[in-house]
Order: sequence, then structure tokens, then C-alpha cells
Amino acid sequence: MAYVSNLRIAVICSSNMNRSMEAHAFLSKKGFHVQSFGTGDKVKIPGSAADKPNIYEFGTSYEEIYLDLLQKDKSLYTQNGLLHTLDRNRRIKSHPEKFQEALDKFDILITCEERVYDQVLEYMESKTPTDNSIVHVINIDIQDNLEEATIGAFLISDMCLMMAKAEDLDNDIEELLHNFEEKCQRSILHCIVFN
Amino acid sequence: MDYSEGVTDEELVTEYLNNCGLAMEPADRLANFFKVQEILLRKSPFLLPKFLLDVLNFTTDKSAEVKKALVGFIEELIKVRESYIPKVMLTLHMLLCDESIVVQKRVIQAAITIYRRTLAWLCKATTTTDEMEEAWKQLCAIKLEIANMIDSDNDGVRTSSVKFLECVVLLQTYPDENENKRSNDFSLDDVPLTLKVARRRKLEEEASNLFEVLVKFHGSPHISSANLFACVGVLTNIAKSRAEFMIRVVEAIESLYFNLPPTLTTTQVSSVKKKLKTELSGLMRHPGAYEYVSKITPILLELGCSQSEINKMIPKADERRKYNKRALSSESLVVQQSVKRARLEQPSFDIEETVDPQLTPQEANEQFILENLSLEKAVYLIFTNIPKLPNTVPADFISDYAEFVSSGNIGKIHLANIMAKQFTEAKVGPGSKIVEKQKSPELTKKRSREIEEKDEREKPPKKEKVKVLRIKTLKLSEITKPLERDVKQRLLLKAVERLLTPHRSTNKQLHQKIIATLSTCFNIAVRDTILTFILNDLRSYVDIALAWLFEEYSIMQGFSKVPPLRRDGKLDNSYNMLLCSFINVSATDALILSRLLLEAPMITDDALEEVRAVCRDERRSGWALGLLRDLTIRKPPKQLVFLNALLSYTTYESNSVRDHAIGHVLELHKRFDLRLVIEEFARMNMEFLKLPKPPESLCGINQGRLKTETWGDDFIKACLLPYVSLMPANESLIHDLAKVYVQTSADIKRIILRLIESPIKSMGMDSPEVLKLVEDCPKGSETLVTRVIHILTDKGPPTPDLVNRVRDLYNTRISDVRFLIPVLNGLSKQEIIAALPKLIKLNPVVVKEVFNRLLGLHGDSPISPIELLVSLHLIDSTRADLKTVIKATSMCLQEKQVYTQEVLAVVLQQLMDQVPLPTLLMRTVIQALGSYPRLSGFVMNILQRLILKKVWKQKVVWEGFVKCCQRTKPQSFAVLMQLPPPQIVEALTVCPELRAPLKDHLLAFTEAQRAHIPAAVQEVVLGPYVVPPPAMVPPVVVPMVPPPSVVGAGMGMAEVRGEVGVMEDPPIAIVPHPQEEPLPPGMD
Repeated sequence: MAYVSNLRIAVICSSNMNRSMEAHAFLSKKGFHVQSFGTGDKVKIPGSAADKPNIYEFGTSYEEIYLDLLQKDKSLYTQNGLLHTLDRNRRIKSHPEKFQEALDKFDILITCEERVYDQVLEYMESKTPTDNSIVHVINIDIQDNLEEATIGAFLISDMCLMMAKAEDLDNDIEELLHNFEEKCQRSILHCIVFN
Repeated sequence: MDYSEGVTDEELVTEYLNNCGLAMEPADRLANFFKVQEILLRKSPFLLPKFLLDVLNFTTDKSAEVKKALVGFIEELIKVRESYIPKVMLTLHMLLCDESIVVQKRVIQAAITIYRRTLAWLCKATTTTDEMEEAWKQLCAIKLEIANMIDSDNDGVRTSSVKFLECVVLLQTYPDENENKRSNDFSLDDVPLTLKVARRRKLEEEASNLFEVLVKFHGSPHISSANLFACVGVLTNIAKSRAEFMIRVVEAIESLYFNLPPTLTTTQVSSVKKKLKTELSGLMRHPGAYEYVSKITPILLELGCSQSEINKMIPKADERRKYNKRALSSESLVVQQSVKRARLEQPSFDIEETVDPQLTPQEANEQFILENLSLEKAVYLIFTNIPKLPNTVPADFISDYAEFVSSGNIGKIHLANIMAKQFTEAKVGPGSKIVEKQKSPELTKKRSREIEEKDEREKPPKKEKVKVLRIKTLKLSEITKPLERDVKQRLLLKAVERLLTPHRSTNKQLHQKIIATLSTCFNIAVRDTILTFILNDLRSYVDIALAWLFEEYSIMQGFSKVPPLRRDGKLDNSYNMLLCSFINVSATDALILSRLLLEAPMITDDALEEVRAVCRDERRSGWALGLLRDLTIRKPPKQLVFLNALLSYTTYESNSVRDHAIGHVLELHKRFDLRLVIEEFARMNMEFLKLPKPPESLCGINQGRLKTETWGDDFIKACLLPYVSLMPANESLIHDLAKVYVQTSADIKRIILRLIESPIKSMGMDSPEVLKLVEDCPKGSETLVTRVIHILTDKGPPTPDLVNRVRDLYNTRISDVRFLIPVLNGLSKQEIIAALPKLIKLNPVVVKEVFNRLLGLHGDSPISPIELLVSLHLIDSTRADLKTVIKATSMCLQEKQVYTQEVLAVVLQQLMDQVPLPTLLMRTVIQALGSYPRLSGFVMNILQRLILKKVWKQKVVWEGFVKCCQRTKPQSFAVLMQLPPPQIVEALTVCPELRAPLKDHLLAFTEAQRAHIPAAVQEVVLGPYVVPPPAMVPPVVVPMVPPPSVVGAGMGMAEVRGEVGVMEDPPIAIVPHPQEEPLPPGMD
């Protein structure tokens, strides 16, 4: 399988459930070399009430979560789209992955909220670099709901397309992000770490 | 095959290498290369010696990806087999020099591992071989090059270079004792003192230099955000690992925070601040930074950390105690400053009133300056003081200033410090109030003056050095207040107005260019101002107008960049509007309008419409249509558009517009390329005539007519004129006219006949096309052809060519005699005579015209008047009835200038000679006599000769004879009496009123005279009872009367005239005797 770009991309949100998966699905449809992760301690998804979230360990498969929710309250989770989301997710990969436990190396790390961005940076700084290649960490704030996730996936895809087109990404990234920012009208964060 | 049993790894590697050599696609080569790498490094390392060179040869591969892979291979190789370090170092260096940025970056990244490995390998080795030394030298060269790459043009290369320098600095410095050591880490401690190639001291010195390079790079004013991230990360990392650098790092970050690169965008700034916050928090947590908490805290506070958060970060006391940093040499610089910084955090106080009495004047001033030295004020000070600077830098300034250069940080505090000194010395500022309470400064006056002067000079350049960079990149908006919108607009317009009325000395072209650029690049208000200005006197500013048009045009066409202020406007329309407004204003000015249109880069449709409006005006149409003609010639791209516009006016309602247009079209018609178009247009219009009603294309504003259902004269003329006007220029057009003519109504035919006059005249009789038309004469177009022939022969005789064709036509196809009329004069006498019967049958008016021609009123006639009249008399009664002939002859005789007495005499003479006598002879005689009574003598002669010809035998002539005698009595009595008696009786019977006069006449004779009269005659005249005795009187011969035979022999006119003159007074009683004629019957 040939990717549209050599860039190895990771999309990271908190639970590797909605935002990162939406973008993961979208980007892989577009032919990008993409993986998705979460940075949270646990996989947290909405439950029957605001103070009663469903919490799973990273490693629990989407399938299991799906079945669990189905059994808990099928109509509620059909209505709020969670079942649909999980159904989509289980077609993409088996289970949520935690970024801090991943071994893969990436050229681009895209985070979906500032807290995740901080966690990613913290983790990356704490690692001893091995091959010292440049990694761009970029944060685009996306609210954690289905619509925003879709919009966010579009934005991320736009940005990735711009990056794929760049001749020398390390050199062009500033201008590229500046243009992207103007285009999407959201402020983004950017930093450099080393693999 | 790869996994088949019989194939050895060696063979596999060979095969893959060969594949690499053969594969054209980089991706294929890459795949094979990885296979080779796998076998050589992992599966069968024993093959390395054999194939290493082959692999290293990929340095020359074209693909950057393959070269990157090669770098990876080398990196891996060194990790696995240190002994190969000397073998690959040269290749690595070559790869570093590769032109591809990607490869360069990869080498730098690999160099981090390789450098660490190599240094360790060197230190571990028991002996240093030449090969190892060589490799180390090579690596040092690489290191130097990478260090220089920190100034590369490429952001990524710079970032990687920074990372590499971090590694070198960390490797070549002593570790902190309590540093949380990473496994297999390497530091200067591991370098054996005995190692000659790499001395500890030298390595440390190098590390410290490289660290300075990093700090300098970090502080460079235009550093990119990516580099900044890398740099900040690297510096904090170094600070955390090597306490000796902590102070420098903290200072560098502090300086960075206060002097963020102006090139950063707002989001980059927020990213950088976030990074700084993270890194500073990291430093805060590090025990080694405890001393600098006071420095870091305010920054963290400003970055959004709460004091409690900061407090949590600070390491516990026991942690700090554990942390024992090495004694550091380069560190004791600015500890006391923390105190001042702490003071900064105090709430600000009112300058005038609440000066803290505890402060020294110096401190008070410093505080005051810190609080009040805003950027604006700094800029103001620099601007006002720059002119006062001496040309050369004073030596003492250099030494003082060097202090700041070395520290790399000239913050506000330093400035405040120095300026406060100056304040104090100048006894100004809040400090001056405290001064009284204080002792006078220790410095002597002289010294203070020196310092004052020095500082006076020192201050500006110092600030310049520090801040000018920022000032230059300062957003102007920070030091200026934006003007009110309308004020701005007013100023703008005033400026434009001033520009518009230039001084006489202004360079005209430059002025023109400026105005044109202004008008195209600025907003609508500016444009309107300029436009109004130009329109007020377009005649004077037509050059500017044109320059503007060109400018606008290039923007519209995308030749020049769209001005930023006009990005959202409609561009093509602005050119159009501009041109139209120029045309509007110059609509009455032929010169300017022509210039505008001829020189403008493009004539839009709307502009053309404006010109059309001008064309419709009769007063201006002359030049306006001429302009259209010029445009047609000089603007080839839109030639047809202009031509069509011009053509449309050839059918315009107004005569003068139409005539002008036709005139210009005729000029254009001379150009070969336009000829066809013009003719097609004219032809199309002419073909309209076939339609039942006028086409709509001839109506409307552009044609000046209302729509109508019937063909009026105006419409017909409009359709015809263009075509007809073209005919002289292209004579062959006449044939199509004839074809159309056939299909049109009578009204239209009439107009056609009227309109062709002048073109046919100008074409003339010699035109082959006209002759061809006459020759072909399409069926139905006879009237047209006749008209053509008429026009041609109207003035001047027809050419033989024309005559021949008409004759042919007449003889072969159309036997309408009217055809012949125009060319009568060209026909032969016989032909004319042959046609006469038909000709005289025509309408009297036409007959009159025929005679006019034949009688030579329009030039020479092939037939003489005499012959004509004679011929008329000779016309056979079967071919034309008598009445017609009578009318014709009468008409001839009315032409008294032609048919004079003499001519008639000759005619009569000739008629006399005809056998049989023409029926109308006597009628003509009588008429001639009526016209010319003096002919009576001659007539008598004729009568006598008629007697000889036994006139009584032709009834009609005889009746005429008698009638003539009656009219000519009494002269005719002598003739009467020469008649034989039966005929006398007959004559007297026919005309009884003659009897008595004749009798009296005879009775009046003397006897002698009477004797000459035969008795029979006398008896008849006098009656049977009177028989006078015949006398012996010889007949009286009048000698004057010439013998009629002589006259009848066809004498010339002169002779006839002479004779007539003789006849003027003939003796009444004497009857001439034609001697040669036989005697009348009864005289024997």
C-alpha cells in the first residue's frame, strides 16, 4: 500500500475514542500513514449522567466496550451516537491505544486539546532521543463532541495535505502553519521535539 | 527464491546489490538496500568486510531516500561494530556535504549517536592507532561543519545542528555528581587523561565554546520559532544536566522572554511562551536552579502560573541538600541582581509624593526610570540623541559597553541603572529630592562630568544596540496613534490633489506614471478625485488618462499584480467604466476622442456603444465615422467589430450620416482583407428587398427608424445604397443587383432604377461587367438593362461594343425595340430604317426622344434628317398604319430648326422620284407649304411634274394634289390648266369651288394668252357654250425657272437654296414648263 505521503502521523486525543478516531478514519481514507492514540490514564466515555462516565482500561477493545454499552442501555447509546462511534472504531483498529506506551515513531503528532498537547510534550521530553529526528507537535483545539470531531477531522486533513505538499516540511512548517491558521481561523500550538 | 535452501546469504547480497544497481525506481533500490542491510548487519555480519565498500558506494546514488538509508546503515553499523568506524567516516563526511537537505539532516541526526559512540570507542581503546586518529580527525571536521550549520538557510538543518551541539556539549563536560545518570551515558569523566588525540581540557573548552554558540543563536533576534523550541529545549536540558551552565541558561531564557523575536506571529508567540513555561517549570523543579528561583518566578508568574503552583515546584530542602554542584568558575556574575529584581515586584508607587525616604537618590531614580521608561520614551530619546553622537566611539565607552556585550543581556534594569546615575548627577528626577538629605556623591566634580559626558554618548548607542533591532521591527502601531478614518481620508485626498497639480519643472513622464499608479492602486475616493480632475480638462491630461488606462488594463489582464486595496473589486469593469467616462467627456472633441480610442489598449463594448452614439449625431458623424474607420484599420483584433459598427451606419436613416459612412466604407473597401466582409454586408442588406416587409435590423435606435410593415422609400434606399455605392468599386456586383431586381416589387424597382444612375455613370460604357449584364440580361430585368443603357448613352454616343451587345440582344432574345433607342445613334442607317416602323408606334414621348436622337440633337446621327423623313414616307403600310406615320412625320416637321425650307425642298424632290409616289407625299407638301409659304413656287413645279407622272392614277395622291391646288390658288390655276381635260373636270368636281375662280382666271387672259390654252381645256373651264378661238400665242417660257429635271437630279443644298432664292418671286401667270418631261397629256 502506497501512502500519499511519507509522513508518519499520529492523531492524539484523551481517550482515543472520538476526536482522534474521527481524524484517524478520515486521514486513512485520504491515504495517510496515520495512527491514533489517547494520553489519558483511562478511556473515559459519557455515561448515563455527567458524573457517571463509563471508564475502561486502555487495552479494552472497542468491541468489548460496544457490547458493554449495548447491554447497559442500547437506546441511550444509540441516541447519543456512541454505539455508532464504537462501531466505526472497531472497524479501524481493535482497541484504544495509549500514546505513552506506543513504540512507534512519528514525524507529526497532532493533538486535539491543550492538555493532551502538554502531556505529549512532557512524555516526549522525558524520553531519551534515539535517532534525533525532528518531530512536530501540533495542537488544534477540538471540542469533544461528534460534530466538532468531524469538523476537526476535516481541519486536520487539510493541514496534513498542506504538509504532504511541502517540499521540506522542517523548513516550511512555520509558514505552513501560519497559512493554515489563517485559513481555519483557530489558533494552534506548535513545538518541536526529537525522536 | 529468497528463502530457497541452496542460496547463500552471500549470493543473496550480491543479487540484491545487483538489483539495486539495475533498478530505475528509487523505491525498488531502497527495498533492495534494506534487504542488504538486514543481511549484513543482522543475519550475516561476517559478510560485512566483503560488501561494505559496495554498500558505501551508494553515496553516489541519485536518490536522497537511498542516501538516507545509507546513513541509517552507517549509524546501525557503528552501533553494532565499532571497529568499522574508521571505514565509514569519510563516507559520512561526504554524505554531510550532500546537496540534498534531507540527507544533510539525516547525517546530522546520525552524527549525534555516532559522535557519542566514537568518543566512547576511542576512550575505551587501549591503544590509539593511526586509523583511529584519522577517524577522529574526520569526525571533528564533521563536528565543525555541523556546528557551522547553525547558520544554515534551512530551518530543519539548523534545528538538527542545535540538537547535535547539545550532545557535544553534554559529552564534553563534567557531569554533576548527583545528576540522575542515564545508563550508558558518557561524559568528560570517562575520557582517560592519557588520551592524546582528545585532551579533556581541549574538549571542555570546545564544549564551552559550542555552548556559547548555542546561547548566541538562542538570543539572535530573528530566530525562527522552530529553532527557538529546539534551542530552549536544548538549553534547559543542558542546564539540568550541567549545573555550571544553569546561570547562563536562566539568563538567556530571561532575556528571550523580555525580547521575544519580533518576527514571531501571535500564535507562535503563544507557543513559545507555552514552551518557556514548560521549560521554566522544569528548571524550577530542578534542585540546581534553586538559586535562580527569584529570577524565574516573575517570568512564570507572567506566563500564567500562580504563586502556589510555583511554590509547589520548588524542590524540597533535602533534595537541594543532596544536590551538590561542582565549583564553577564562570558563574559568579550577577547574584546581587536578584535583590533588585525582587524589588521590582513591589507595588509601584507615586513618583512625586511618595518617594521612599529610605532609598538613595540613585535607587529612587532607577525605580522612577524603570516605571516610566516606556518604549515610546526610549524611541524618543534615541531619535533625539542620535544626531548628538560623536563620529568616533570614545574609548571609555567601548570598555564600559564590553561588559554588557559579554553578559549578552542588556535589559531594562541595566539601562535604568545607568540612566539613574545620569539623573542623579544631573540632579533631576525623584532622586533629586532626596539628594539634599544625602551626602553629595563621592565622586569629584570633574569625574562626574566625565561620566556624564560619557554616558550621554553611551546611552543612545547602547539602547540602539539593544533595542533598535526591536524598534526597527516594532509595529508602527505601537508608537503611533491611528488617525481618524475621515482625517486619514482627507489627508489622503489632499495629498493626491497636490500631486495632481504639479510644478512646471516636474518630470512629465514620471508625474504621469505616479498619477496612473495612484489611481489604479488606491481606493475609490482617490480614484474619483483623480478622475474628476482629469475629466475637467481631458484635453490637457489625455496623456495621464491614457497612462491610467494602460495601468488599469495590465491589472485587468493580470500583467501586473492586483493592488491589495482592490482585491475585492470588480476589475474588468473598472477599465470599462474608466474608458466610458473618458469618452463621455470627450464626445464632442474629435481630436481627443480619436487619441483616446486609437491609443487605448482595448475598446470595450460599452465604449464602442458610446462612440456609436456620437456617430448618430449628424454634426459629429463625419469625424466619428472616420474614427471608426481608423479603428478598423489600426486595431486588428477587433477589426470586425468596428467594421460592423461602421457598416451599420451605411443603412442609417439620416442621409448625411449614411453618406459619411458609405464614404468611409468605400475607403475601407480598397483594402483587400475587408472587401469581402463589406460586400457581404451590402449584399445582405440588398437581399432584404426580397422580403415582404422591411427587416427589423433596419429599425431601432442604431438605425434611427421606427419599425414599420411596409417598404417605404427610405427603407429601400437604405437597403440599396451601400450595395449600389460599392458597384463602381467592384463592378461585378451589378449582376446580383439584377437578380434581386427581378424579384422585387414595382416600387422597389422604381427606386433601384433611380439609384443606379450615378454608379452606372461612373462605371461607364467600357465596363466589361456592364456589358456582360447587357449581354446576359436576366429575364425580368429588361427594364433595368434598358435603364442602364439609357444612363450610359445619356451623354455621348454609345460605344460600338455596347451597340453590338444591344443589337445582339435585340436580334436574338428581346425584340423590344425600346432597347435600341439608347443606342440608335450607334446603329447603321439600314437598321434604323428597318426599326422605324416599330419605333414610331411607341408612346409619342418616346417617339419624340427617338427623333431627337435620330435628328442628331445628342450628337451625330447615322441618318440625316432628309433620309429620315424620306424613310418615314416610304414605310410600308403593312408595317405601320398611315395614322402612325402621319403622326411621326408631323413630329419631324415640327422640328423646324432641322427641317428648314431647303431641307424640305430636297425631301420633296426625293419623294417625287419615288415610284410609286409615297402616299403621304401631298400631305407633306401641303404641310411644308404651310410652314414655309415661300415654297409655293417650288410646289408649283412639283405639281407640274406630278401631272407629267399622271398623278391622277394614285387616288390618295391625286386627292392631295387637288387639295394642294385649292390651297395654292391662284398660282395653281396655271398648273390646273395643264391637266388633261378629264382630270380638270374631275378636279373641279372634287372641288367645285375652284371652278369659278379658274373661269375668271381664264377669262382674264388676253386673247394671245388664251390661244395657248387648248380648246378642250377652255371648254371644260368655260363651259361648252363658250369656245373662244384659239390664239396663236406660243407658250411663254420662263427662263428663270430651271428645268425640274436638274433639280430632281439631286442637287446639293446650296444649289437648292440658290434655286429657292430664285423662286422667291415667280411670275404669277407664267407656268413653267418642264422641258425634258413629256408634255402633259392633252397638250399634244
